[in-house]
Amino acid sequence: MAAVIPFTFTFAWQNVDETFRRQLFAEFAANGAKHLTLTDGLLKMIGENPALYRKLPAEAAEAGIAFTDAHAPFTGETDLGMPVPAWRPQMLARQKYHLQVVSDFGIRTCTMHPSTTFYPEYSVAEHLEAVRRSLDALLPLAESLDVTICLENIYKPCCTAADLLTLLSEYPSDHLGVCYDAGHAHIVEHGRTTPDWVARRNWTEKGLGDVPEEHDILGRLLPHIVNCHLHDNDAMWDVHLLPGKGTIDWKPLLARLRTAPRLRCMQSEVASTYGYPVGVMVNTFRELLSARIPGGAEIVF
Amino acid sequence: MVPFTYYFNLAIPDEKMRRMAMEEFAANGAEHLAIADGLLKAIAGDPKLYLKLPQEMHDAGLSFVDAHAPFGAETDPAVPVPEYRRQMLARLKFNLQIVSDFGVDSCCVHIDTALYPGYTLEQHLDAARRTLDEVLPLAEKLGVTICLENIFKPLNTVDDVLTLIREFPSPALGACFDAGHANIMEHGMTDPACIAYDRFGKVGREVPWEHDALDRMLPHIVNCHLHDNHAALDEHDLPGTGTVDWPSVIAGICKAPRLKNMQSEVLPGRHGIPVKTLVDTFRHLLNEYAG
Repeated sequence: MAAVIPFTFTFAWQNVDETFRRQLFAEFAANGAKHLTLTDGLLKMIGENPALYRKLPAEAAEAGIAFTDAHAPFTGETDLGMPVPAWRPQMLARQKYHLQVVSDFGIRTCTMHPSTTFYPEYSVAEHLEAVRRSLDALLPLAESLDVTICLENIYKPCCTAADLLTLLSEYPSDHLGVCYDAGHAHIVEHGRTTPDWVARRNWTEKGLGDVPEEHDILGRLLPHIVNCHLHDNDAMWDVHLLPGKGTIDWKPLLARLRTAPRLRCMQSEVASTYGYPVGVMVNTFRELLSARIPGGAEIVF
Repeated sequence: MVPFTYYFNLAIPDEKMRRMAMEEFAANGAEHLAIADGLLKAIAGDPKLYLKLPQEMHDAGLSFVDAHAPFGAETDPAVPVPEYRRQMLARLKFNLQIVSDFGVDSCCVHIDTALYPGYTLEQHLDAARRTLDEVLPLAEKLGVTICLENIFKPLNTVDDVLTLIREFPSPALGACFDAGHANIMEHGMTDPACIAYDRFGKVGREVPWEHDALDRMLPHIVNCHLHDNHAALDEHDLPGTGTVDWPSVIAGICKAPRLKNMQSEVLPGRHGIPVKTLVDTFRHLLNEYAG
């Protein structure tokens, strides 16, 4: 019997007020989408406004939707790979707080960036070592909370498929997995010949040498994929478009992704800032995922 | 003489305006600002502020002295609801880490602000004890003293503060003497509109009017909140506008053996008080009565 996997949607909730947030919750529900992502933006909003800790689940319940997966805040002072010793305790305390809120919301997967901001005074190896020390501190909590930390592949140092596989081999835990980002993988695999490749900006232009060649990222990560980010692009820039607006070949990708043995959730990470109507976002993914796949998960919205 | 600091919520989204507020204090001779509860919440919501704020303060020639942890239903140490406690603890630890990283060694914490129906006062107080059990080791390690504040509310009386301090003898636990709140609890009984009647009445309790709050708390006072009122409402107004006996309060606090700093908790925005007036008022008070 096929596994049943929920499909969730991200949204830039930090850009809307409470009235519009409630309206949009209802909008997702009316379009048949019952699962949303507890985004990095929402986690920061809860940090700034503690009352949202109880208010958001109540609003969601009222609309008939649920927060089903999560994305921890990232960049600079919040990345697992942030190597500056003086800033690390606050980063760890902050991420422990996020994991607790994620767990309290009944969510079992939380995507984290190994590294987003590269600190030029530190080597790639030192950033990776910082990720390890962060996992040393955070994994025991994640295990006790039954939240799986999902490391995301990005077109940046410390976030290659090879880096993720190294970390996964060093930390064999049911509570550590991968968030496969389809848009980022497309950039790394197919963007090398584009004129202004975002990956090159994050490697060569920072004096870190050539961008490592990576192929079949999905196949290599497949055994470890717990969550995923689905969005499209032209392989040059990370523009988080609606599937079909870029150059990703979605049907074979999704068919394969649905066979990932640890898959617990699929997520649209299409940017809401393009103003796609909720119905268009929901229906685009529903159509892409409607076909049954032998050995593949059944997706519910 | 210990440093004097000002409570001012620097959680101003526009950086230029935030820097201007800092410059305003510096231009009027202030040297220190407290990390307000609102600012700690803003840092939780905007991680970039963690690095930006110390630099902005340095640029203005100011430093952070003293802090106030966020308070309210989700953040109070006395939250008794088991499923809400873990995030409260994680948040409090995060706040203490930020306070320490900013070079601050005292942090005021409200024992309880919002009572949860279905739980007794004793259950709330016991929850506060369990919170101290868990966070005091971190506070000790970070060198930050948690300062429990006297308030005109159940669970926050001088007796409550002293009970907890007695039960947890630690250099990382002390008292924050709030002069305005003490004035209400010592002199509010003749005014039917006194806020203490409302706060204690809500739980069916007589107001336990207090006497000699300053003297009783004195051995444990680490920081203080200085603001004025008329012993009825929690006005947080400029000294001299209300009925607080400032000569006694200032002279008394200065004798506290554990005192680390003194803080204006006047809310200038609420009363339209210019920073110049604020700073001049406290400078005069300290010159006259600090001894």
